[in-house]
Amino acid sequence: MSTHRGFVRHGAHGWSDYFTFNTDHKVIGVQYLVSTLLFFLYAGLLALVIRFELLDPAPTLNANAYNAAFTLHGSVMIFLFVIPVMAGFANYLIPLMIGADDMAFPRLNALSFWLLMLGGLIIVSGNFLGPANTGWTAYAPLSLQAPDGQTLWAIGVIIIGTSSTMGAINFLVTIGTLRAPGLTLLRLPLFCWGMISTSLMVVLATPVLTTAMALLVLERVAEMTFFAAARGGDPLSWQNLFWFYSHPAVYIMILPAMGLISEILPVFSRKPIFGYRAIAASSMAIAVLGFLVWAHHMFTTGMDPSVQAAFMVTSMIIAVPTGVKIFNWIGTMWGGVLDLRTPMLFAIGFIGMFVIGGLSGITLGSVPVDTHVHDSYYVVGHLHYVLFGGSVLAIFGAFYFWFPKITGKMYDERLGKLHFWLTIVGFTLTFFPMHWLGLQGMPRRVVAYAEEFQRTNQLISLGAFILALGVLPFLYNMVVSWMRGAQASSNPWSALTLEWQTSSPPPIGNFDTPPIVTHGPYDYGRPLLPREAAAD
Amino acid sequence: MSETHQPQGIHRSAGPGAALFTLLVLGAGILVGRYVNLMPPAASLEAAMIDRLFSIMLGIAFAIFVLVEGVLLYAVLRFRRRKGHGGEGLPIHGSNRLELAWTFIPALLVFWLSAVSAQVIFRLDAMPQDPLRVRVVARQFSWQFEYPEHGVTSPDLNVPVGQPVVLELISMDVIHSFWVPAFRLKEDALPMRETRLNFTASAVGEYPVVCAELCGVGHAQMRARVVVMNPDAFYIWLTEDNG
Repeated sequence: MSTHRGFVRHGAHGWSDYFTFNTDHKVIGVQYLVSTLLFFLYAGLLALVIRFELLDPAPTLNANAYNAAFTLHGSVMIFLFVIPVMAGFANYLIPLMIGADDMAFPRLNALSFWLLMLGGLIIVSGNFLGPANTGWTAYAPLSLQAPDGQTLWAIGVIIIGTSSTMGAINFLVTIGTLRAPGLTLLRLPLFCWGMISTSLMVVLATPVLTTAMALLVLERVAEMTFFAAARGGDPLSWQNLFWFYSHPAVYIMILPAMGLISEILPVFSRKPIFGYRAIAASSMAIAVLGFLVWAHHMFTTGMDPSVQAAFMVTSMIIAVPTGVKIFNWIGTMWGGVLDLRTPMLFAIGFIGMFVIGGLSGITLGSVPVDTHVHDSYYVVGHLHYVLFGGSVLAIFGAFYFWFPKITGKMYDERLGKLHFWLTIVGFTLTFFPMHWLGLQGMPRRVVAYAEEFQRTNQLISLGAFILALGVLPFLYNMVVSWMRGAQASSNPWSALTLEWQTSSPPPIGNFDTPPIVTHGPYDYGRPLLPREAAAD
Repeated sequence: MSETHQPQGIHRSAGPGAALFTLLVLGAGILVGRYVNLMPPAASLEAAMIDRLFSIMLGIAFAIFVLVEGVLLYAVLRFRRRKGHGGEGLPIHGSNRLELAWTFIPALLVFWLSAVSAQVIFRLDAMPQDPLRVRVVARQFSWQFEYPEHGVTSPDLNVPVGQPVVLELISMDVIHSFWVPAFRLKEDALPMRETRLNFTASAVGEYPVVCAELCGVGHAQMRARVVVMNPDAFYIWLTEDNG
């Protein structure tokens, strides 16, 4: 491919290539990772605005501004950080992990990235029109009343959803057709299995979201009727369509994270992953079950009790494949030689925190308990245990783990550990007390609250400030280590997956000689001594 | 536990340590389930049912929490790399027995929890005999309570203690959600579609009503009170004071 065709480029020859319509999967991967990280910082600052407001039970900000802040916080974190940052890792890693020279559709790949930027720009520019202020869930008919920014928000989500769908098709075709000789499906790194299950969900669920958004836009600008009850529409249709995508989206955000964890743990345990097939199969099970639980977000809408019970059972069953993964990860560590470097700390932190989110998730699945805590701070606590304690910790771990591969430099281990401990302490102070607040009766999405909750809210805000502080050593580490870090070898962690079998960073085209795979991705560990083998 | 530099096999019998840990897990679960109360004071018969269910789940969740975090921490401490030890772990790829166990035991547990929860769902839904009917009208940003059989309208929900009440909820604009934390009950108020909520108040007193569904700029201020009264006082209020 020619490297100079105006704005269309292939490969990074200098920094300016990162600002072009570049068709190299590694460039696109870095474009995704860096830009989604900027969105993370933006949405994180919005979270600080929220926590600043809630220091005091009386409103400080204008309520509309506050509503806009949490709307944008949620939307940007979900649509512009957690979901696409996974596409960033997948873009960078999948071709390397399967021994390919690029993605199956490089130009489609570049298009997905630039559509994401366009969608993000449209959502953020809604701020200047009167921002969307109805939460990331945009329930109708409230979202029909919202200012014009809501229309831009919905258009932005449609474009981002399209980008996401294109990416998913690309990942599926790439893994399906471009694997190196010898790389059978059961030798695929588990991150690839995570992306297969995620991409299937994206392909099947995202069109429903984009349809819902298109209907919302049409109802807002062309006065067609879909959701407004007063004109004969049905507001619950919005909820059904929205959650038909957005509950699977929870798994779209966590399955890749689980894949990242499954890469990190065996390397730093110096042991094969425990129960490879079970972990891969549980990802697929979650991808299927994930489509059967959406109505658990609607238990309080006057649903028939038999329907409630059915969705309760499916929601609770998801805990089983999730539990399988957690036990298998601990099984991976058991009997290993654990190297507690920063990526490993984040992986262990993920297991420890995600378990709490999983357990509170089971209580939320139970209809009678949900009747009390639905739309309360209990849910806010739960979802952050899953999304931050789960996805974001895995993302941090992955940034450190593949930093040497992507940049060719080593990060600073001490700063990494500082980041980890500030994060765990800040995270726990922020999100654990929220469960109590919810049980006690504090609803979510409120600019003002009962005075009895002030102490707890101040503690939570303190936690959030610590959490934010922890991001500083991370950023400093990433930027300064990239500029001045020690040179990284091609395989600093002695890892077995293919991305480590080429230089750091890999050349354009990835491998000087096309790899042939002769073993599994996690064949770590010394051979068993005869005595142990007999005992096994 | 032997502290050698070579990690031991996964099937090695753990002995008294494991037995003690099992006791700790079960004990922690039972103690938390029985004695830890995270809920505000309960003021309805339904709250008692929901609190019992939540306590069971909290106890089980805490036991699992102690189990997982305990094993995780123990693994970190026991298997962490010692200085000068550059070796590899054991080449164990899995164990069908263990994996079956940690698939089927949690599966049984969630089915059981579903069954227990389902019982409560159907009991909460059962239509009571001779209820007091109250129409709840939600609008941006206020609650209004109407007693259609008595022609009374009130900004607070007044109810007699011990008598079943059926609320018929409706919204005049966007979706709201009627939540009384002291009752542990919540039901959305939808535009053009009536929803229903049954309860029987069990303790005289005043309790907050909050809107739980984001409904716009005044959402946080959309509050009211439930006043649970002695039946005599309630019927005097209903017939004489009428709001």
